Amino acid sequence: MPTEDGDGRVHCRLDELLAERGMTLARLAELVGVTVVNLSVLKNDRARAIRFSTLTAICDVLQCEVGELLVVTPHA
Amino acid sequence: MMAQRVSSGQRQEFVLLIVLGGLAVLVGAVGIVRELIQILPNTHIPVAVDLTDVPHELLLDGASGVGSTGVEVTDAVVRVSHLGPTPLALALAAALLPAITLMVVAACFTVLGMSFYRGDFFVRRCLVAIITAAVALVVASVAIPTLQMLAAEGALESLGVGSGQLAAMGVDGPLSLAGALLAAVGHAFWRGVHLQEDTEGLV
Repeated sequence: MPTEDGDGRVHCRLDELLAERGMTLARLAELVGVTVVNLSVLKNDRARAIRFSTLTAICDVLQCEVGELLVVTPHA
Repeated sequence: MMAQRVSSGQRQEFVLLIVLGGLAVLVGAVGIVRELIQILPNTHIPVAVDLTDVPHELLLDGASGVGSTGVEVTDAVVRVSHLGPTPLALALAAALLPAITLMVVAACFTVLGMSFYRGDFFVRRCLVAIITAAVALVVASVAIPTLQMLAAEGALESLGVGSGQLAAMGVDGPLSLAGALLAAVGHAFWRGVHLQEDTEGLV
């Protein structure tokens, strides 16, 4: 049975994707329509859930797949 | 956990709630001490009794000495001394429970006020406070009248005028209604807490 927060094993690669595209978090927030605070929560792996609409918007702007943005880290 | 923003107007209301709750706790504590001082010596303990089923005769003297008028008393306060352990314990419990209930409910509202002041609304602390207050009110709504009836029966027995009947369980309507309403609010808070936990960390 999965734990409530998945043991925090979901890693968000937003930092890397932004760096590859030379984009700032503030610019992404502007384009996606999500607050910088929320994107920062996502970037720092502190998010416990993500709306499909947020996920879709980020992937559209960064032109990436969901699997490129979110990866599940192996058990320690 | 992210606290919600609280306006200065709301803060003042919450401070008022904290102050009133604190004062009520203080009043309850003073009431407990007063009752203990009054009852523990076991002399001249005032006990409210229902005289409806107790045969009695009371004459009120006429103002100008024109005669007396017989009246029927339904409620009275008798002063009893040297009660046995059980009647004394019942008298003590009946006297202390209203003050204890007041203290518990007031303490819960103080906790709520402090939590609201910090901007924490739908958190487990608030839920526990509301449920505790609701349970205290519901329990008190049955326990207070029942204990008061038992204490009255014990006091009358000590005076040798007991009805000999077992006291029935009583229910205080307004108290139980308040407890039920607070429990309903508690249920809403329970839903709110779950909703808050579900959406926490959602981006």
